[in-house]
Amino acid sequence: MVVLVGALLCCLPQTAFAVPSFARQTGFECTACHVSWPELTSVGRQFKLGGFTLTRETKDERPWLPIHNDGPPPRLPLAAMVQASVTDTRNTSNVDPASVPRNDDAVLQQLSLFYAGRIVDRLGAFAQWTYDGVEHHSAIDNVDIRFAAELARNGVDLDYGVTLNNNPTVSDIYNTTPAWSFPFASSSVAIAPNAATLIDGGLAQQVAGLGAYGMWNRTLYTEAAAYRTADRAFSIFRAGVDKSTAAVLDGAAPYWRLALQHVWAEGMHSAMIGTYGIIARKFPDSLDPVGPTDRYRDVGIDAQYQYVADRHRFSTQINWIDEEQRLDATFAANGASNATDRLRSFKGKATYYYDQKYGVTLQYFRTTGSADDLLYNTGEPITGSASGSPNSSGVVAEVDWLPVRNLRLLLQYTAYREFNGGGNNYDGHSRNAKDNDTLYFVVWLML
Amino acid sequence: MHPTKRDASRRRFLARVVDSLGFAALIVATAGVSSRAMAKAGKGEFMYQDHPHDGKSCAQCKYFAPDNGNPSIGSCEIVDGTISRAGWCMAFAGKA
Repeated sequence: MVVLVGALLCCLPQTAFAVPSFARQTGFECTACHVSWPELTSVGRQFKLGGFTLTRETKDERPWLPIHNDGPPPRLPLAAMVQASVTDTRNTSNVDPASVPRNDDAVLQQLSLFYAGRIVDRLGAFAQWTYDGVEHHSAIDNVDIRFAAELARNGVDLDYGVTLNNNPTVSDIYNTTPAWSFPFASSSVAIAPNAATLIDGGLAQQVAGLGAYGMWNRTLYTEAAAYRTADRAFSIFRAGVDKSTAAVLDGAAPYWRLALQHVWAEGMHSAMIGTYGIIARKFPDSLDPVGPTDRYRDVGIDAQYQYVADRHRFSTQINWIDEEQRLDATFAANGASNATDRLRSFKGKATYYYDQKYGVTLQYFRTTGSADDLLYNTGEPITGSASGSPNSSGVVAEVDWLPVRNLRLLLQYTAYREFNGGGNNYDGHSRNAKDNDTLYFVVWLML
Repeated sequence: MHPTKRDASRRRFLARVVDSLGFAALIVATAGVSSRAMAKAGKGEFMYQDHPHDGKSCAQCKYFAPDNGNPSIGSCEIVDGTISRAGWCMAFAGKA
């Protein structure tokens, strides 16, 4: 795998854009589709609605592989990504090194290969395969295969299509929902809170979903999908994922999305308010998927505003998720203290970019929910919660510098006010929330 | 004789290789087809208008090709249909 990636990196051109195969296909600068990659502008959202199929017209012969960025679009839309990072956790004294692996070490965090672009006619795909340089393991990442069409008649303008993907919200066109929300890069070795809603990555690369979407008159966006366990014919959607930890669903999980947007001042301003959610029944033991299940009902409310100009760019997003957990199976097996729990998360961030090169982002996050001793009070140092509470909160501050369009240097600081239910001695082993504060530096290259 | 774990693992690996080769062949085959049919955007998709925006117009855009007979109009590599030289859309990209 490493040899393959290395060979590809050598072959690809040295100047590129966001997912560079999209840029090579359309001729767009990365900043046409992104406020700063990967956050989408109105142009980027339109490109995604079109199923990644928009292709610059050319009379020249198209090469098979990407040789020049400004030449005719290559037939195979291949791209690659490299992330190298250093993570510094604030307090690692008296901590088992296994809990903070590779702390202060430079690591090859992620290597990804993409097939991203048009396949044929109205069919396109964003498909990512990722090598984890910390775990030394490779597996499928986000996949979104789309068929798109447009209907423009009698004052009705409808962009519609079908999506087959492996992560609820990966098909969404806004940067509020979990799959494409800030932070766009985060440390894989940092200590993270133990509670998150199911839709917030809990099913990513473990399910396969078929959905239909439509954007009516550039104003109303709707999507409906059904997700199921990615097994049998769909197993390629979770290839390489550890089956012992992957979620196994009972039947189909309905997903919905509704968003109202407005774009004005010839595209410089855009705003959106929306809601989305999923209902899933999950077996507590993925290796023994029989018997009773736990039912999760997640409902999200989100909003976004963007100002996009050449010199100044500003965007802000908020996202609130309410999750009802009916833990029939886990409670019966004495794995939870309550038959029903609640989990709520809020994220709000604001970003400013100057000259499309220098960016600063500030995010506030907060997770609250029912205290549940058996779920959260594991008795473990660092990852446990003495109060049995899932509550965590804090801020993320990030500065970005893009010396060239396809290279991002990112410095990010995460500060916790509350971690796993407490500020001081949250785990019952004298660890404080602020001990988990993390400084994270990434060199992120797209090719 | 019962199959061993190694046999099962080998079968899974071979099945995955066959799947991957089939998938790769499909992509290569469709990529060949895709070179023959281009997909342009409708005018509404990128908010095309027949007047400039902030001093920028299609005449300055790298995607615009003027019509030989009537230079006030032309065609675009991105947006479908007849395009005004004085027009503009969100996909505007200045000539290098």
